This record gives sequence, structure tokens and C-alpha cells, in this order.
Amino acid sequence: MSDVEQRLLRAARELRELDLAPPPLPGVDTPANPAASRLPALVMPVLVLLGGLAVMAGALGRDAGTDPVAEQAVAVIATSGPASPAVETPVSLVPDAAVEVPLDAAAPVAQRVRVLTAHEEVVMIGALAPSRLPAADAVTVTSLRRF
Amino acid sequence: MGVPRDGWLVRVLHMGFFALPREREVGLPISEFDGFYQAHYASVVRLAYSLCGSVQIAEELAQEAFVAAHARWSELHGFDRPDLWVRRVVINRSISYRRREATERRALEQVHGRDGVIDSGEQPVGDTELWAALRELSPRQAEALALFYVEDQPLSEVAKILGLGEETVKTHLKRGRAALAAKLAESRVER
Repeated sequence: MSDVEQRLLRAARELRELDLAPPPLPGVDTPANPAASRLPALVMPVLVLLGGLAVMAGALGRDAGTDPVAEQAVAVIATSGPASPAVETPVSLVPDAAVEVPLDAAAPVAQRVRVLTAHEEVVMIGALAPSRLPAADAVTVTSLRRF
Repeated sequence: MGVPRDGWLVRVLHMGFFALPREREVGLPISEFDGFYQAHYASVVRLAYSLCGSVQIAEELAQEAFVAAHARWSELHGFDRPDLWVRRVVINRSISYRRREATERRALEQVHGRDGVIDSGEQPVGDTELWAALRELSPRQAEALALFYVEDQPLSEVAKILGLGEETVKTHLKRGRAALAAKLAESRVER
């Protein structure tokens, strides 16, 4: 076995010693809510119909001069340092508008902010270097990348 | 449980290009997903780490891959090895992350000089010199080495995950080891 192979195996062993407990997946409540995926097939068209009606109602609301429909989402703010927990905070996603993610004192050095919509769609907002964070208590993010 | 009696359409689909998962049942075993996630999370993070170089980012990439798997679980749970799909996804995302990070680093260096480089504030993990050298290899060589040594996957599984033949994987491993040895020797001389 070559030196490189030995070194690779040793490094791999070191990696296996890392404590990597799986955290709850953001936006995925599988053990708590297994019924969501077992909806009978006939219920789905009804839900689609109700969703369509809700969208129409939202469009009518906009026409009547009310606020635009905002999609509720959760921003997961990853702080620096392996021991720091991610901070979750509710935000609103308004189409074609910037997303304002409030940063509280627990996340003064946020590095990456990502937003999870209510439909479990992950929206990644680019990496934020600590040096580029403003001193203010909010970050306005203008680029959204959808997966 | 007896053999499910599929309709003619399902049987035809099983035979052709649009192969359906054979073990699909009416009630999807979503609780299986949790077990799957618990069983494979750590190894997927390790794989991502070897390719992206940050535990924090690796955990995030792994979580994204599992979120994507959850969204397609009704399809994936019928696969023999759904973890291979997750590994493929996390490899792709790790490589994309590397490219994005390299572009961002170059741009920040041009604008701010060394001060513009992102400092993750993370503690280095293990043999950082080796992992840094591995990340400088071609993506295919790095992926093959990570899967074979970090993941301890047999050649046949590495080939499946990468969508390559076993002989091609052997070639990537051989060239990857040689390139890695050269890079490590280079860094020893520089020091």
C-alpha cells in the first residue's frame, strides 16, 4: 500500500470520528406528519381546486388594492463556528422584491442564509461573508436561487 | 405479503424505459425516510466534506440532498439503494459549491485583496493538507477517491454512483492517487 493510500485511509478514519448527529431536516416533518403523503388520491384534486380558488382570491385582492400575496417562509441563518446552532426566523417572500431577513443578536456573523417555503421548496440565498454584513440588524438579499 | 398484482399498464412500464419502482405500495412508508436519513446522514456529510472542505457547508449540502430525496421519496423508496441517489446529488452539489466558491474567492481577491477572502471561522478537521490537495484534483478523480476511501464503497458501487464503468473508475483512482502524491510532495517542497 502506498503512502498516499495509507494517508487517505488514516484521514478517512479521522473523519469517521467526527460527531455528526443528524439534525431535524428543515421543512421535513416525516415522523411527526406521515399522513401528509398518504392522502387518498381523490383528496388531491379537491386540494388543487381549493388552491386554485385561493390564488384567484389573492389575485382579486390585489386588484382591489390590498397588499400583494406574500409567501410565508422560514429563513435558516447558519452562524459561524461548528457549535453554533442555526437560527430560524419567519420571513415573507414577495414576488420580485428583496427578502429582508432580520438577524438577531444570536446570529451576528451569519454566513449563509437560506429560505424554506411552506411547500418545502428550498430557496438558497448566496453565501454572506461576515465582512460583508452590515452593522444594521437586517440583511436585504436580492438574489434568489431556486432548486 | 403476497406478490402485488399489477395492472397491464404497470407491467408494461416495468418492462421498458419508464421502469417503475416494483415495491411501491399504496401507503408510502414515509417513516422509512427517517430511518434512511438517520442511517446515512453522517456518511453523506463526510463525503461532502472531503469534496467541499467545510463541515458546516457539508452539513448544509447533505441536508439539501436529503430534502430533495424526501421530495421524491415516493419514487426513491422503491430503489434498491436510494442512498446512491443521495450520494450522487451531494457530489454534484459539492462540486458546484467548489466552483462557485472559487469564482467568488477570485472576485473578492480582485476587489479587496486578501481581506476579501471569506473566513469561515471553522476549526480545521483532520488532515487538512490532504483534503485541500484532493480538492485540487479533477472532479472525477476527487469523487472516485472520496467514494472509495472516505465512503469505503466497493468499486462496483463507486462505478454506479459516478455512472462509469469499473475499469474507468480504476483509472481515475490510479491517476488520482498519483496526482495526489505529486501535490503533497509539491507542498512539502514549498514548506
